[in-house]
Amino acid sequence: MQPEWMAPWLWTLILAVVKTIVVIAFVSLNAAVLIWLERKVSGHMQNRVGPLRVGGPAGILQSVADIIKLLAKEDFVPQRGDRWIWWLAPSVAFAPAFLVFWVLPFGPHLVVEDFNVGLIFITAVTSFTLLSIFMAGWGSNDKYSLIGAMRAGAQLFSYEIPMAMALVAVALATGTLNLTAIVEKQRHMWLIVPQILAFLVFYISSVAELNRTPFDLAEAESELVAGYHTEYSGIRWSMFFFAEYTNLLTSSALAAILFLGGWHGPWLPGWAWLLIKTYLLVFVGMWIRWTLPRVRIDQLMDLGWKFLLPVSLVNIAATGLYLVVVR
Amino acid sequence: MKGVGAVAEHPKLQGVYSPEEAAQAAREGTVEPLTINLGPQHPSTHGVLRVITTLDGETVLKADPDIGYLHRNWEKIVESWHYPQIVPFSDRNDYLSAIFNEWLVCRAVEEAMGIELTERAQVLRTVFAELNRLVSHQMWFGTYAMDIGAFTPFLYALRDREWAYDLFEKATGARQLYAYFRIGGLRNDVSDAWVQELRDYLDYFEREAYPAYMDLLYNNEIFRVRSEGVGVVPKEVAIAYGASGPMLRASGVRHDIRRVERYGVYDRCDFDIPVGKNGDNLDRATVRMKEMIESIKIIRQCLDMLPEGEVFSPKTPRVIKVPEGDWYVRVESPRGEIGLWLVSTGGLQPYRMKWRAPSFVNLQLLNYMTRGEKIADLIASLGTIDIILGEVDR
Amino acid sequence: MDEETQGAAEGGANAARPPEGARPRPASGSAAAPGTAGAARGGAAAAAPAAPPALPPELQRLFDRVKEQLPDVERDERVHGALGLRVAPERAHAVLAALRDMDGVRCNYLSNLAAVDWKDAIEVAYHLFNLDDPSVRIVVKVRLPYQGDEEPEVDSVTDIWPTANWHEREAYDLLGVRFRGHPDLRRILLPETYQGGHPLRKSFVDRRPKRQRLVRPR
Repeated sequence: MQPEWMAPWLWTLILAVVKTIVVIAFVSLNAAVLIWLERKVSGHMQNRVGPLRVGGPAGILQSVADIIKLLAKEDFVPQRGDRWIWWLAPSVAFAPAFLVFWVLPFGPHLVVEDFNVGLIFITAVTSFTLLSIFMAGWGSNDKYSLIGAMRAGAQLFSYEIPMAMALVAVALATGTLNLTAIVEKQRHMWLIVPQILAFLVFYISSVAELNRTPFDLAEAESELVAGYHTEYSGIRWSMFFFAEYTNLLTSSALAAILFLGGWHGPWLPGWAWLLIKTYLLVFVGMWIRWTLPRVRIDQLMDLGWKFLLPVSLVNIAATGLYLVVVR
Repeated sequence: MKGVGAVAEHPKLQGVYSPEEAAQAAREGTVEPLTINLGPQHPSTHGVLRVITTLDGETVLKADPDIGYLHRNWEKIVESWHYPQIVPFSDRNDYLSAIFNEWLVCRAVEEAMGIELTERAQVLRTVFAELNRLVSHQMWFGTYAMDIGAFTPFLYALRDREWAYDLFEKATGARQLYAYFRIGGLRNDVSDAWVQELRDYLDYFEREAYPAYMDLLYNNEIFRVRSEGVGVVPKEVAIAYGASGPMLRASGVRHDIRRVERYGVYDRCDFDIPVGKNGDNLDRATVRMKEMIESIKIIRQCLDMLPEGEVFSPKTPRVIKVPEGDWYVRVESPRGEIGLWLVSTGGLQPYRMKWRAPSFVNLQLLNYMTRGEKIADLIASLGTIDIILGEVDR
Repeated sequence: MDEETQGAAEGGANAARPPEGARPRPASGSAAAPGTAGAARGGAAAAAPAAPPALPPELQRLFDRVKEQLPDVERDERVHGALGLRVAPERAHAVLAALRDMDGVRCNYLSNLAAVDWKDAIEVAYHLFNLDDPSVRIVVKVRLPYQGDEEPEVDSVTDIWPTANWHEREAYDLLGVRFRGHPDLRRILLPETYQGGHPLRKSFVDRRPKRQRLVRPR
């Protein structure tokens, strides 16, 4: 594809810029749609109709209006906060969510970067979310933010491990770390069938990693006002918001790719199947969020360390045993 | 029953970090207590309450409620007002169950003056009070769900409350602060159509709304683990701290002013007084959920026995003048026992009125309930105390 | 003013659980004009001392039981619907503790603690109930004379009923009664920095400007 007259470094640069723009556009569009969707879904679950009046069918332009409003809002800066850390945190929050999309395959060749250690890349990159939350909590110089950040630290760290263990089982079962190859292996049977335990552990952990109810302790609004983003307003706050929804999309897409057969499906093109599966999981996430109460911090830890981690370890052992005995 | 010494030695407080120990640890540099102000502006303080909370990480060492942000000195203001003027003003104390405030003032004055109510007025007063109790408990259900992090039940509760408020509006002209009870009876009568609609509402609530509440929140596993064994108030502590209403009953004391005092037509109604066993948040929630059903039972029985006749006693004097003496009158509100100490020197105005607010007394238990528990439990326990700041601060 | 005249100014009958409307109206002669009531009561020692009205049998039995063990309590005839007792301030704590522990009385529940300003004295009232026996309902009153801006003192009952804690803080806040031995006697409803005195006293004058100035004067 590279024209002959162009220097290789220039071509790489142009490709990188174009890919970045495409991913950012895709992610932002999806986040905007998700925000609207969440408001609609929660509205209908709660005897309301959700946004209706802003424009478009069923108020679909609500997110656009929100973005304009948030851009126009005053940007408060905590006077005694750690200015630089506070300032950087929203960007750091946004980065991992967006980086994961780099390796998610939407079709056999429809992937930004076909990385052969995609799974490891994902586990490494998603850990950055913790950093951003901690930066926000520390930089705000606010007690609520600090408690929220401490909670997030404990929570994300505890759920990172079962999640990684679930991914190990996936890697064991498929024999590869490349996401495209993992999807190819599911041509005849989705991985959710043999790896139902891994799927459950992965899904619960990803809900916990997303800080969504019932695991939204880091921003528990009835206890900590808004948790780590108490001091943020305007566009900075909305970046956290965007990051949350992008993460929701990412983790749902990842679950769809790893366990629900990715782009495999009849009649429709592959990317459409993946989007359908992703949005189905997103809907389940919203359903959970608007149904369940919040757990307490010690119960959260118990669930992570005393239940999910053993279950995922047992699953790894069972998978390994199966591979040794059957093959 | 033993005194405060016994309370301090209660097993629940054994082995819990005291503020003094925390200070000691801070001097040694092992731990640094964190003091946060929950409120006065905070999403779940149910009004303008400030709780000065000392934390060791997530664990509450001390919760000191600072009240008075809504203080308007009701007791001073009413000293210069005539009795009929006081009735609507008392609505503002417990604004989620205003009927009980009116009833309390009316009952105190009627008892002091010896005014006899008509039968229909008595029955209708009971109906309105129990409907208001139902509405108030619905609101409690919603806000408690919100306190433990579930937002959806709140909107379901508000949806069902809306119909009840429409009923109130049709009968009294107001949705929340009714000014419906008058000294000597009621302001106006209700129509048969209204009675029928009330029956429809009760059927709807019992058949559709209440099971939904149970499924959505009460039978939820997370709700259970969040509420069970949290904010435990043993029986003797509840009595010593003067807790009342669902707070007291959840601790296992079968005490209800509706049974103890004679007012309304409760003595002719067949209803249960639900009690708990452990006095934890789950028991308080259970007691309130069951009380909703009991209220429906009472309303149905009252509607069945609703006689024809006047709602305002014709023998009520034109000038309300309470003879000399003092009276202490109590009414069972959704939050517990409201008491009014009426001191009269024989005139158009009271010499002194003291409002015994159940929320005010129950809130004292917050520190006891939350010591050594997590901060999330503090919010949950505050939710099950079910405070109304208008009443706490008066 | 002694207890005798205090009680004599009242003509109403008492009843433990009066059926509504069944009680006779109190004698109208006892009513005083509202504004001057406190002073009139102070100076009304000459009012005809009538025999105190009889208590309903239930409360009379209760009174006999109390009187037998605590001979220094007097009846208070102002109180309706309960047994009114008056106690000297120095004996208040002992009497209240005895009422809690006395067999057949056992007032385990302090429903309310309130004070009222009679201009020459502040009266603290304790509304006691027994949760197991609804017929036990006692009002204990303690009269604390004071003059001017004095803050009269009485023993705290927080060691008998912990619930008295906030009630006593409120009485201190609004009426200026000092409770000896209270663990934490601060203002509760008004701000701790409030300087204007105790608003529920009859002599209270609100000294704040009628309209808050929002702009600094030039």
